[in-house]
Amino acid sequence: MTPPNSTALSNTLDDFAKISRLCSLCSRMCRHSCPTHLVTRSDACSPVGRALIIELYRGGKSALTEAAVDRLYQCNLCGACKAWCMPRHELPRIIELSRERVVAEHRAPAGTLELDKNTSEFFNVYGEPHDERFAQLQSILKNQTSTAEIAYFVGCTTAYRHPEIASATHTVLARLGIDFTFLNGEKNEVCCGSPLIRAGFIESAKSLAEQNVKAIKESGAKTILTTCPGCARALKLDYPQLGIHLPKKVKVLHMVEFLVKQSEQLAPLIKSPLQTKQTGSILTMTYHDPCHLGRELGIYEPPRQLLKLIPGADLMEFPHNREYADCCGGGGALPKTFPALAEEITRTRLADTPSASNSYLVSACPNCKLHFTETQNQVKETDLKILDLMEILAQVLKERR
Amino acid sequence: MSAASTAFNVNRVKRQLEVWLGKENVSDAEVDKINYSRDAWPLRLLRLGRLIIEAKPDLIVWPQTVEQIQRIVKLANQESIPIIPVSGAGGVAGGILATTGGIIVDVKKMNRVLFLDEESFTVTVEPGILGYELEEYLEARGYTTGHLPSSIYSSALGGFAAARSAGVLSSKYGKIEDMITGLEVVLPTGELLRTKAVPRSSMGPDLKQLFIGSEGTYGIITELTLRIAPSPEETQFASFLFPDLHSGMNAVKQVFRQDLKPALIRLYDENETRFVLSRFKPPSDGACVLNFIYRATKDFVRLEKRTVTKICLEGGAEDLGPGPSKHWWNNRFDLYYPSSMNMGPGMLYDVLDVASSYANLEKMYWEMRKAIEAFGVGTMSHFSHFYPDGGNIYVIFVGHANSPEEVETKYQQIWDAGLEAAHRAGGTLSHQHGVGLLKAPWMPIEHGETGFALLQAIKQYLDPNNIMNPGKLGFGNETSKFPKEGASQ
Repeated sequence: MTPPNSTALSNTLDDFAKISRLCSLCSRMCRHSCPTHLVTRSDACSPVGRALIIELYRGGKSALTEAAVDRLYQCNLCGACKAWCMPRHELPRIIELSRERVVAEHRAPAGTLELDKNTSEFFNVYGEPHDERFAQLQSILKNQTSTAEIAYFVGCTTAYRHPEIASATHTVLARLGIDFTFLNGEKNEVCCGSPLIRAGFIESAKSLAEQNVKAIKESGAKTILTTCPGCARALKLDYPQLGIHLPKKVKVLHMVEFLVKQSEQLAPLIKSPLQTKQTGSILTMTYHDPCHLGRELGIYEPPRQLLKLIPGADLMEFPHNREYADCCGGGGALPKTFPALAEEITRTRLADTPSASNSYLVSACPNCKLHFTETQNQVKETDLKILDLMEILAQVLKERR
Repeated sequence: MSAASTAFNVNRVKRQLEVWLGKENVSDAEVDKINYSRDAWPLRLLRLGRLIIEAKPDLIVWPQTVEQIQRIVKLANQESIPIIPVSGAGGVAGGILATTGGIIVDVKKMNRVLFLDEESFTVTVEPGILGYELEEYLEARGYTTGHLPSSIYSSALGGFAAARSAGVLSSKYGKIEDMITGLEVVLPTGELLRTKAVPRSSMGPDLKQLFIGSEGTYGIITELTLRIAPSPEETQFASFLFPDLHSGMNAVKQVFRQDLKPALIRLYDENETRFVLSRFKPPSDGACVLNFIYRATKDFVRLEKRTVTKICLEGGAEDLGPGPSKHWWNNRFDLYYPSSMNMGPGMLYDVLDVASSYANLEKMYWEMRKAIEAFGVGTMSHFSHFYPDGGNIYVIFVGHANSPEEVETKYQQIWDAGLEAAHRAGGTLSHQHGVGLLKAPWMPIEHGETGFALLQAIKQYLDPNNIMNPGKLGFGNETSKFPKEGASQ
């Protein structure tokens, strides 16, 4: 094992040798769940295919050729393969570690280099100016306290692409009378580093993690809330693996974990069922499980429990849900490396939404919202309303008296 | 019969195929070719575990239409390039290994359900749809094919037909050849053959049956129509412990003589019974478990359960309740995941799947056990597909050897001895796993000289240049029982 304080995550490709070998010899018991395989239908572009490529590389039988690198990056790291694996092999982790080797050998795909460049220069994955991270949230920042027990870690996608999720979160917390602060200004929240860990840029991720831990320490907050499952996973699971630790008394929670504990306070605040303007009838909602929130953090029921607090809410399920949920297509840096493949996966998930007509597709992840929205805008095949769970709650909560 | 040429201008052919199929549907990348140099044949996997690279194709293509397949096959036929059709690649006999190089035609992109005929209770599909995908589609609409092999996640409809497969509930639903009512096949010269999808016909021999079990040597299956059944209203489980194998076997015969067809009838020998009951109760020496699954309407399940229970109790069995049968059903895929048990250094394992009439079945079992256990390996066996007139045996062997070379030698000796014993006892040498490379040398023995010559003559007529899946089923120049290590690197 890697010694403490190493710059690498606390395990290496060779630590997983036994598992990657077994995966490479499997009769492909999980192939049917792999989103990129289901588009390409290629046996090399599948969990077992990637495991075999890793084994060939480890055994000195194959270099990291262009095709090998492509197959290793044609993966959403969604973890669906784990749900179908009886021994629960951590193949996605092994693929991440193989990507670290790709980066170390200077063979990283161009799209991922852009991620690395953006985060090192601008501290966000989109390459937007860092000092504009909170620019779209000025209206809610005005009345915000600068110190509080609770801090909201916004994350890049919410900050730069879907600030309405932060506004909705602000509304929900305000309705509940919960005092919280942002990690803005001198406290300086930066990208959580999750996209870099997933893409193999471990050194860059570590640098971001250190900045965030410093910001959180300086804020004095005891609870860090986030609406992004990728950020939650990074802060909860990846940072300790990187050897970077938040103070023990600091808890990190995804907003659904936090709010489900406030259910008793929330329920009486819900003013009315959701209604369409056109028909006045109650809308149906389908909850999409984000991969990081579900398979990685094991959080399946809290978002559903929150949506069920809404009187008359008709909560539908995808045919593949919870542990077996399909990826939105946005995971594993795929939109950066193979955008057409990612888009095809997103289209499939959108098409699988039950009661697609005039209903809500609800997730609890800004990246899922981003990819669903972008793809729907392009294909215009459905009239789904794609919202974050925080936006739904913000719509139905009334002012406290 | 001469084998197709293994030397062809790969780059030129690749460029042509890219024009027809699009660049994204053609690959000669090394890592892709290695990924297509394996199925689930234990010997190939044991070698792959040692990172032995062999049996690579020169190209892989993913056609999306029948017309594309016809073009590919015509080109290959003109230039004598081997073609290896692949769908799920879940076979266990080396049936898709490109031992002579050539083009792998992976049909998995042809995965549509073309027509669900709810009046006739049939479904028409393309060959690349996985068994799991089709069952998921049908289940959502209240149907099932009933064809549920343990490879269902990794095998596809084209492969089911090509390898003449059987699902675990075959006693009720039948085997793949009972389900298929119509086929479309691209012949090795590129012509298209369609058989009418009808319940039965007496217009001469049944042409579609020629292709079911031909393992890609007679053509590429491009469309199948299958019978479907309603999703069961009721499923129940039952297990009985018999004092010995013979009394268990007698009970099975009685079940058929009462005109019953439980979905699953699965009789374990004493060795596998100890394994099956490990979490329930230790059996007495020689005792054998007989599992049943009933799947039908509630009324029929009640009748079946009552009658089967009466037969078993009168046959001297102890009623174990639903536990062991239900446990098997819920965990039936567990053994298909590789583990250090079967993939560790020096380990060797496989399964012989043979069948015979009741008159020979028990004798065949004992003789195979004796022949296989003589090599110092352990066996456990079950009888899992039954008919009114007989059944199959699944003899699993697991052992150890001191070197990779010894693993291969012992593996081959065990197969030879086991199949020889089965043949002597009057059994067929494969019930459901097919021939591939593994059992290719046994084809003349199975069919006799006249029978095998007839199959070869048909092959010669259909495929004069021997391009289709060379070496499988014992056709062509492939005379070695196993591909030489490192063949076609």
